[in-house]
Amino acid sequence: MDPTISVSKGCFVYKNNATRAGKKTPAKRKHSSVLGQEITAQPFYSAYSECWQKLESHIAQLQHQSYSRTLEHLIEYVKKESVGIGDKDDEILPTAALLTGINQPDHLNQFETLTRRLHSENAARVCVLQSRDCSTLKAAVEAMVYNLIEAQSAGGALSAEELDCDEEIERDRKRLRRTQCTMKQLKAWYLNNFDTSQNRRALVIILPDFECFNTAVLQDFILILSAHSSSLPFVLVLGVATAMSAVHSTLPYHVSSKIKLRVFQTQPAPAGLNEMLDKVLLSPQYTFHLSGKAFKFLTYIFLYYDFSIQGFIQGFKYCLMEHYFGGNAYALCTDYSQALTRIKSLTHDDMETIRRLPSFRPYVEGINDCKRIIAVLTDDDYLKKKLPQLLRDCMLHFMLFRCSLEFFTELVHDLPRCPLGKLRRELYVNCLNKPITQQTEYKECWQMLGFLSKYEFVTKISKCIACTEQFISNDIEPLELGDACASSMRNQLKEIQQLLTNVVMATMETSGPAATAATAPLAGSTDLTHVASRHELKAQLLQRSKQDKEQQPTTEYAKALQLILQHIETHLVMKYLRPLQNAPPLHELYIFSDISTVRRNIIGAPRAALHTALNNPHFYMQCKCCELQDQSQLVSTLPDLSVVYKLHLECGRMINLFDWLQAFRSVLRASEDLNEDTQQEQIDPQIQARFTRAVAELQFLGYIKMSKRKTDHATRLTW
Amino acid sequence: MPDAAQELATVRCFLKERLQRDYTTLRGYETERSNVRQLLERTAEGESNSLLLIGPRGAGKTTLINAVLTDLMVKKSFVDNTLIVSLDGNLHTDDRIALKSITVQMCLENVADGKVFGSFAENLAFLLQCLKAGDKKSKSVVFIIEEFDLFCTHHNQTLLYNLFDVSQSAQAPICVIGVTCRLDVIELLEKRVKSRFSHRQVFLFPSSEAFEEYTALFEQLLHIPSNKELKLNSDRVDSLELLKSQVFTFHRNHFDPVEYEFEKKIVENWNKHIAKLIKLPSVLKLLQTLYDFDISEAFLKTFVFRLVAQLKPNEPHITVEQMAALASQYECDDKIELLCGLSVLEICLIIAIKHHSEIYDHDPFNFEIIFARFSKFAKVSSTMQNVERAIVLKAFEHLRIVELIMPLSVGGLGKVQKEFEMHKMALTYGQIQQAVNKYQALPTEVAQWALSSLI
Amino acid sequence: MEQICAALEPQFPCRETTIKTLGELIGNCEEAYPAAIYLFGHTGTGKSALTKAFLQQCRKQQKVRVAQLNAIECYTTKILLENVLDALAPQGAEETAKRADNMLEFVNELRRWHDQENNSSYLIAVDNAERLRDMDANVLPVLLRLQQLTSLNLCVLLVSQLPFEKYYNKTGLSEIITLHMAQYNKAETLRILSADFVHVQRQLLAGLSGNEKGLRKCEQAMTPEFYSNYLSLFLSVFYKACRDVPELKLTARKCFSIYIEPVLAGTIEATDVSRLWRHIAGPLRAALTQIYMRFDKPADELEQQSNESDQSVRKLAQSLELPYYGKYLLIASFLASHNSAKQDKRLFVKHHGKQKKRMQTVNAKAKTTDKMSTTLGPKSFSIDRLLAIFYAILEEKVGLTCNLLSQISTLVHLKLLSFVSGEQNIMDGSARLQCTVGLEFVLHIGKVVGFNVRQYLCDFM
Repeated sequence: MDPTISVSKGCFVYKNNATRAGKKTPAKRKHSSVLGQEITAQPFYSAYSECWQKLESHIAQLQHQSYSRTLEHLIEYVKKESVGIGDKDDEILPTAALLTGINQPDHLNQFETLTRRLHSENAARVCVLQSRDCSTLKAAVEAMVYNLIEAQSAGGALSAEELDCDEEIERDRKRLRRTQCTMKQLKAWYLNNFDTSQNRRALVIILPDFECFNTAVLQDFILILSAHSSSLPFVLVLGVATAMSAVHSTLPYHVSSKIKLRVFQTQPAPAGLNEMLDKVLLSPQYTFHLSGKAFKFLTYIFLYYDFSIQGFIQGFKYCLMEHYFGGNAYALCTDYSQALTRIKSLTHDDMETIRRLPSFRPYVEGINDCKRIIAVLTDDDYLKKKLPQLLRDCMLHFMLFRCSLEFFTELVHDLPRCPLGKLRRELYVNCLNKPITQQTEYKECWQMLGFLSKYEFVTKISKCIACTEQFISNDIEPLELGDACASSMRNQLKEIQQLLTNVVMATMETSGPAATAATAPLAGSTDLTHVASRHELKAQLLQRSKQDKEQQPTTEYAKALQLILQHIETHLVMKYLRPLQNAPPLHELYIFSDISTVRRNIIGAPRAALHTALNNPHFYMQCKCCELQDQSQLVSTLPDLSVVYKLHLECGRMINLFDWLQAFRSVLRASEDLNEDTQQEQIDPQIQARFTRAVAELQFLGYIKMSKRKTDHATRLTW
Repeated sequence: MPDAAQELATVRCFLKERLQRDYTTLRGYETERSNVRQLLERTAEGESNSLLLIGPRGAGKTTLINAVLTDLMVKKSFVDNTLIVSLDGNLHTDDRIALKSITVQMCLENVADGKVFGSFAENLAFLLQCLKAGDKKSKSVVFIIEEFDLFCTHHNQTLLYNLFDVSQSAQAPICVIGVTCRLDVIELLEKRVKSRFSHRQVFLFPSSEAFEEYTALFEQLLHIPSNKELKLNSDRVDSLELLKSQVFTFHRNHFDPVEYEFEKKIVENWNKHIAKLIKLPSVLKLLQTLYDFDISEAFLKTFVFRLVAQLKPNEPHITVEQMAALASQYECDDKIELLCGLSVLEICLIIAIKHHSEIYDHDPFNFEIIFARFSKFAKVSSTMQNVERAIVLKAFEHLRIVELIMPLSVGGLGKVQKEFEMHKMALTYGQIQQAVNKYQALPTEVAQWALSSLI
Repeated sequence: MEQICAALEPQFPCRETTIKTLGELIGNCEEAYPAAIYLFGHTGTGKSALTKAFLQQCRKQQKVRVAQLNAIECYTTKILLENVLDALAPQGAEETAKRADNMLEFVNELRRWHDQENNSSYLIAVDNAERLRDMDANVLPVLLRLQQLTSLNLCVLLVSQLPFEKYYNKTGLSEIITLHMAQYNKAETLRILSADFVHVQRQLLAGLSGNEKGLRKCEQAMTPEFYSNYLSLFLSVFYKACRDVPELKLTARKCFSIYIEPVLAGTIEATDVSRLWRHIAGPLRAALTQIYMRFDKPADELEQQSNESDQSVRKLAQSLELPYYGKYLLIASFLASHNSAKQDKRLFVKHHGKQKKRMQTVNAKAKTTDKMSTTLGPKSFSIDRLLAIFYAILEEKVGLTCNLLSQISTLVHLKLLSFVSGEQNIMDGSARLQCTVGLEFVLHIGKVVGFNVRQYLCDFM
């Protein structure tokens, strides 16, 4: 009795929002101060945190709008059902199947938002049933009833009538133990709270992980719900990870005849990822960028292993940390104005880190005045004076890069077989990794562009220009330094534009050579008439056709086209879409490319780690005693476990324990010279004990298993 | 004429009630009856004893006991110095419950308004001590234990052990009467319990070659007694009131003829009609089939009950047609009924299953196998074309729900996916064939296929 | 009793006999009830609905106390008993009177009522009665003998799909009156469906509210015989596959909108049945693949979703988005569970010695189709074997990382793989999995990633 009372009191307190907010905030503060004061105070940390905040909020907002559409439909459906339920007499349970992607954890928050929405609109009572709560039918029903009755005031703001019905609930709960949570109870509760027509609520049951449910339980559960659906307006929401067929394979005839399904499709995970990449990671408003490799790596994890967007974000966040924690110099990776202020606070060794950046060297070599070189290398203040210019160049470069990427994408994304890839991200990776103009795919693209019909080509280019324009005006200009970038970009566009007009004009008048070609046949035909031999005729025809051939490409249109492509290549691709290695100096401040550490820390490889640990303990222990020249070497000073392990690597599937023991012993004896008699004399119990222990440990690690078939043999479980 | 309808209503009411609620009139079994009766009388005089009453369901075991008790109720001596405790294996599912209800029924001291206090051990000790306290003089207790076999499953058979023990030793006189329908009940008793049981058993078997009695019984059940018969019958029932026990309740709404009052002529022509009915050869034939079907009295009672229920003002008498219709309901096979209710698709599946189990004599099968066989047929057939696999699967599941096919492993859900779960057929070829013949508007090709597996 | 039947017959067409019998048996609460009645028949024959309505009538007209409960809901006996008590209790009975922990208390409670107020009658209906078999052993026998035990005028109706013989246990059960509700035959089905006419018409008009000419057309097109024509067409397609009346009703409503739309549009005359048939035949056949699926969609989406459903498996294979390695793992698991481990070397190792044709292998070739492993179902395999095959069929080299291993568990979560044994001891390689997806599904997955599954299956070589 007592706990329930206390619970009810607790809920009473909770119902007031202010207190709850009050409760949350300190928790957050505590959480963020996991790192010591000394770190959080640093400029790089502040830079990091603000950058991350911006990104996070952006992503969250993006995701929200990405599935808000489905959400709307769902809510509207629920409302409709809850209203319509009154008149129907047959026991059919309205069911919404939400086709979420395969990555279930990602979608939990989706359902949470749904719950919140429904509560806030007073449309329904919602209860989310996890499969782990529903091992048996009893547990399932009790959990459901309990949540429905107890879980009010989750909806945040409660209207007046909600409040008084909560009084009811308070009274109910006084005498509500887990065991009395039956359908009867629920019915009674519903009757004395909601059954008046004006505040009739749907009871929404959400099963977020449909596949994980025990089928038998699920079937009975649905049957029960449908049996009551005439009196209680249930609406079932299934989170289906795979596909509809999964639903029908779990629900046999007699169950599926009790429900009616409405399918809701959510945005597939890869699409979601692409959207996020385009909108957030590739957006110019963030000064932090991923290098091609890092970028590719993260997407690779996503596409090849788990479709987990959360996972991707975490990985990205990790890169961010890794980048900023490189030192205060990286605090410069932020808006230009802020960077300027930060420059002053840079210490000497910060400057040193900057000087140590790989791209600093070419910059220094670029200077042809030795005094200034020395100044740059030694005098911090001088460098500080120089820095703003450098930073500015860098930022501008990235912006321009982004703009021209926009253009370029539009240009090549819909070519047949899209050799360079159709997505912005693929192009991004391609461009950053190596000089794109040397790639064969690029050449292929250029050819195809050449083959395009005039109309197609013109529309394409103009489309490119248009969307680049739009991109500039939308995304670039609001930023600082935006105008600079925009202006230079616009010039490019203008030139392309008027080159394009040439193309358009070009086809208007028939080109000179074409005219001659037109006249030539006449002449030819004239002398064709009085040609003597078939021989001459053949010759003439041949060379005429030759004529045509070399005349063909020299039409105005083709020329203009070549021209414009040429221009695009030189002024856009060559100039702006430069690969990383010849990006402007200090770009390391903005680009994160240290892929190896990320890989090591994001993807764990347990078996590999174990293998190295056992095969070469020195790698981890760093002890004098067991350094090895080569991996396969066996030294008596190695830990017993690793000796045993290495020995068992040499064996086949079945290992004879006695031989193994002998080998083990011989290894240990390897140090002192072993002559015949020591060989003969039987094993000293200490060694045997050590051996046994080691084997036991190996078995515990899951490498071997004592075989039942053959006596004193062990089976290898790995190879 | 309303009063005739009225009369008919009363007749119907009377018959129904007598059929349903007459717990105390036993027909036949004279020897067994006297046997039990004497036993009880001796108990009343202070002799302990124990007995098992064994017979199939509906043979009238309980009725026999009730009848005997009713007989004894008229004897003042018996009523005064016996106490009747009745237990039912279905209700008293373990010794603790049983013990409590015993103490309640014996109205012992530690009972407060129907609630018993104290642990099992305490109660048992208390009860035994009460019984020990008594001797030949004290009131004797009759334990009537329905569903005796279920008590054998209780932990250590503690209760039975103690009861039999008391009945062996010279303590307060008790009589334990076990009623069961298991012939092997003795084997269920533990050795120590068995040794304390006086191996006195009474068997009730309705004789299978007494068709005359059967018809007689039929007539009796439908016969309306004259008023003075009613009188003496009702006195007999009234005597039951002396039986004061809140658990032993068959007398509560035992049917009481006293409410009924019939006009002479109605009674006469009703009985005459019945007598005429009985003479008819067709009726006799019907009864014979029923008799072959099930010889127990209870069965006949339900049959007659349904007959009587059909009486209406516009058909005031039981007709042969009604009987025939009703009897036919008993004859026809439920499974075939169900089969005829299936869709053509499901029938096809059943046929496929039949063929499979004919070919691989009664091998178990799973959905895939059957589906392969079915789709072979579907290819050539005109009716069954383009039926989706998913639909067929649903149909298969339907068969499983109706338990025309049974999964081999119970609770096999989950582990094996259901396309591959092995099933066995719960039908005979005969049933299937009958169903196929009986099925309305079955496509001929399907019927053909049912006859021969080759397509 | 007459009134009751009169009230029910319009509600339940084609159920006169059953109603009559029920009326005779329990129609009149002054007369003695039979102890128990068993009502069985296929789903959708209106067992539950009929019983429900009948009991309600009894309650209304004759003040009979009725209790209706669903055996599935009663996962413990206690709930069953208390629900009954709760429903039957005389008004003003205090809460404690509705508690019953075991059968005895339950029965005693009922007996007590007999003293309180006699000559009132009780009806208890138990739906899905087949579940009673799974409950405590004493539930069913007691229910059947409840009248005698409680000495009340009380009757128990059991409603189920099974024939009563399925209930017998070794000691047998006491007598019960069984009633069978026959499946509707075609004529009856037609009659019932056409009773739906009014509803459909109302819906149609509601839908058309707004455009005048549409309404007018509908008015004069939408006649009962027009609808019954439609229904006969409809049944000619559906009746063979499904006799479940509610199911048919739903589908009929769905398809009718398509049927009538050209009439409303004015392209086809309402009387021109043959053209209407040509128009509707396709959609009907499409809908036949959808029956039992209960996809509840607005009519306009109906045809497009039906034609997407006919290659449902391919749809699924594409719609189911798996990570690249996930797909390969799935294929590997399929191969693992449909090939015997002996074959692995021959299948996956590049330079296995050419296997010699022994007589036995030749015989193995000649195995009947329904003994193929793809029809006999998957066999189990160990995780190591899965990984081995995975690496064998995957061209590029990929590290064995925990992301990869977690993929396996993901697949298990999605019920694409399932544990056969040893969920708990995955550490030592004794845990065994099996692949639960079908052949054609995997074939499609294979197409997507460009991998020919067949050539790695023993059954197909």
